[in-house]
Amino acid sequence: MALNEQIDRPTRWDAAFGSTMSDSDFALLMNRPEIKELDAADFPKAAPLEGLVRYDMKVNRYSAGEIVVREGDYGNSAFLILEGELLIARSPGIPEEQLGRVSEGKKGFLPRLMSLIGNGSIPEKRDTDRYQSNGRDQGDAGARGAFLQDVPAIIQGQDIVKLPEGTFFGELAALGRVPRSVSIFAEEPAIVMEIRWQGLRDIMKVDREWRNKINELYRSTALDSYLRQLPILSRLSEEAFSELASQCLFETYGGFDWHVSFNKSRADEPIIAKEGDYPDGLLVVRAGFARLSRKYGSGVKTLTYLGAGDMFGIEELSSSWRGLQEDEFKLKHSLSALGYVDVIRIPLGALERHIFPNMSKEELEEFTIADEQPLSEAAVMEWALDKRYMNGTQTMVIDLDKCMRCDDCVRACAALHDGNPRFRREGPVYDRKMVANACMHCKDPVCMIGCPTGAIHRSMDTGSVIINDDTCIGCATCANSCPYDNIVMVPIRGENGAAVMDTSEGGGQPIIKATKCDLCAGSAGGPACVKACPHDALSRIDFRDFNA
Amino acid sequence: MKNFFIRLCVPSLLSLIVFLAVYFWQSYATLSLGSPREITGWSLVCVIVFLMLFNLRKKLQAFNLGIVKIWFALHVAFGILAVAFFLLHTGSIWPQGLYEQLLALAFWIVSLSGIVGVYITVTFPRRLTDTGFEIIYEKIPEEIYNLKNEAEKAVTDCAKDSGEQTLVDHYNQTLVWFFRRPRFYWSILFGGQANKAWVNRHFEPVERYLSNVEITYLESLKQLAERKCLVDEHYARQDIMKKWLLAHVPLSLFVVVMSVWHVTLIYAYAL
Repeated sequence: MALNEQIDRPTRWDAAFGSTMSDSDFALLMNRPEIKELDAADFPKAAPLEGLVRYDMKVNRYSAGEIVVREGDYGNSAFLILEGELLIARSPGIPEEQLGRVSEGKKGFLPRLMSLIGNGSIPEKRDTDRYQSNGRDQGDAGARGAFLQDVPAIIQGQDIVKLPEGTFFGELAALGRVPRSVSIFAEEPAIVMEIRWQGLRDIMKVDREWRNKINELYRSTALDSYLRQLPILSRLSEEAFSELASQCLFETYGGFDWHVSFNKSRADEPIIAKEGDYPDGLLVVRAGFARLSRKYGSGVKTLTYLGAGDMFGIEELSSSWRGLQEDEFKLKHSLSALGYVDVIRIPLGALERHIFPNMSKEELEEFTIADEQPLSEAAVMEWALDKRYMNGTQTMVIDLDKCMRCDDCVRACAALHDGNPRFRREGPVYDRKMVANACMHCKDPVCMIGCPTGAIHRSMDTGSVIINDDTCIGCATCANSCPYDNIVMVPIRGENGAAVMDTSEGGGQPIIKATKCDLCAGSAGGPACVKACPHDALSRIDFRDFNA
Repeated sequence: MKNFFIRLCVPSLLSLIVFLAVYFWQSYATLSLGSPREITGWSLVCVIVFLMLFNLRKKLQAFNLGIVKIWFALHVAFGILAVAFFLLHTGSIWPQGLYEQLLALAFWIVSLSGIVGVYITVTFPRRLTDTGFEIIYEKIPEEIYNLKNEAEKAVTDCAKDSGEQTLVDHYNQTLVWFFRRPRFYWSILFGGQANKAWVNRHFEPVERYLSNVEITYLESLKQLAERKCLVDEHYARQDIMKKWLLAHVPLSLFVVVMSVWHVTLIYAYAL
């Protein structure tokens, strides 16, 4: 019988955020007023302040022209400027080709050949030596080392915002699980503290002042960055924009951790706006999803769902502005939060003063809600929203009319993933389509919320949700959080095929790791499951295309 | 189905062009006293090798060798092309000589199993979807075991609640046969309704001997039997969907091996 390999059970801080954190950097951070004001006694033993600073923070030294964060990248960390200043080129922005974006590497021929030969009959085989090498750097590596070639030329003609020493930024992407909204770079050398979002979350849990400050910053940054992206506000002068922005309200409905109640089959749907109420402003969804519905018979009928960028109430408000409102001036539909939703409310007065007068009749007429579908056709929307499938960007949908149940997709997946498939060919069925148990790479990946090490994260390049096997400690928080049961915990095996155990007394417990679909990251040609289906039955789709 | 035939269009056109090219080539060879059999023979070998590559492609998932659905469409179209080349090569359905007849028999069985496979591909998934129920093949034994347990619990509870043995006896004498394992395999495959007819035939007669309490249990037993019918349908169809390849693939390999020997013999003695 093969002997079990034994390793220390992985813990949160086996891998520090910054491998280069020196004692002087540690002292530098501990002496910052932002850190000094924290009371170390308030922090729990499991996550002490010193540990958070040493393992969840790092000090980055940027050279002139170096990019700190890049627009469109998915970031898992926030920043505090310790020395120097950074710049944001807000409008028209830095050209894409100058941002130094590098695509993620693909697997070479030899590793692919080895995966073919090496899989054998032992699934989830790992080289355990790599788990023992601590100090891996996990920062925002995607942007590090990328330099702007000609900073003065880039600055010229740009709407530049300067971020002075002491500015905190990046919290929007880190906490909201959304892409970075702007690119930030150093004009002159600067020193910046970077904190991974798990550490930020822990500090916010303990310290009320940090919590309030970050939340307020989150709201104001989100409001400003988002309003600038709205097409209906694009023609406003800077003065009018500032006035309108000051009147807008940033509202949040539902919690970041909406999956907790959903997993307990108690899906709350807080009402954002109610059918029949007076519309006091235009609602724009900034993040998350909301159900658009109206009373129908003795129940409520779902018409559609709204996602980021969608507007609510514009039809009523614009027809009122045009003097077309024949009946009472009230909302025709209800809007409720499907999980967590950020909404920006633009008051009616601001619309009448700054937006409607600048719009042509044709533009105003564009704002109409889609026609209602018959009940039988609308049923799929009710089903999908009840199951929160609108979250999926790469949902695995199997057309059962074509599926031969041959499991070629499962075998293809296993062939590329340590001999163990990363999905199950089963799941809820609607009509002839099955939503299989495969990671959907959600727009709002709630699985990331509780991860203590940041092992589950978004790929900076593609935005897909992936797990870093090296830093996963097997706590199963992500698997328990996933509302769709798409993350599976598996015991790993050593080179000899025997289960890897921890070094605890009594023979130890198996070391487990979280596994899920990674869209075959590193393999050419996209997910193997799609490529492997001989019958064109399997597809990975954004939920908006579900009925296509 | 429509989608499947649309996917076949381009490969079919391609195979038609290949066939016409080979046909005119071998016709020219006949007129110029060349060796037309050699042309059609090697064409057939090439197509057979290409058909075998499909299985290899499915195994090489780590390499980007094209989408399998395109390979599959090409496999079907070139399968038909192989039949056309075979007829062109032999000049008849049944060649002369024992070894050639054995080779032809294997070839026709492989071709027939391929046609059956296409029929299964086009019709069976839809039939399964129409059941409104989905189960993984490997989980069917567990499902049948659970249904049988539930059925036995229902008759036991019935006996306890009613104090009567009628339903227990009927279950032990008749119904247990149905719940024990998958039934009506061939009837289901040929689109029959024998399983549903059997359930109706063996549930209705007992009703007149049961009290109201027992009838409630009979109803729940019938619901279990109806679910068992669906499980049986999945078992029969999924079983064939998986197993037809067990005939098609090994026999294909057999055809390749025999063809190699056939070519060797031809070059050793006939040319």
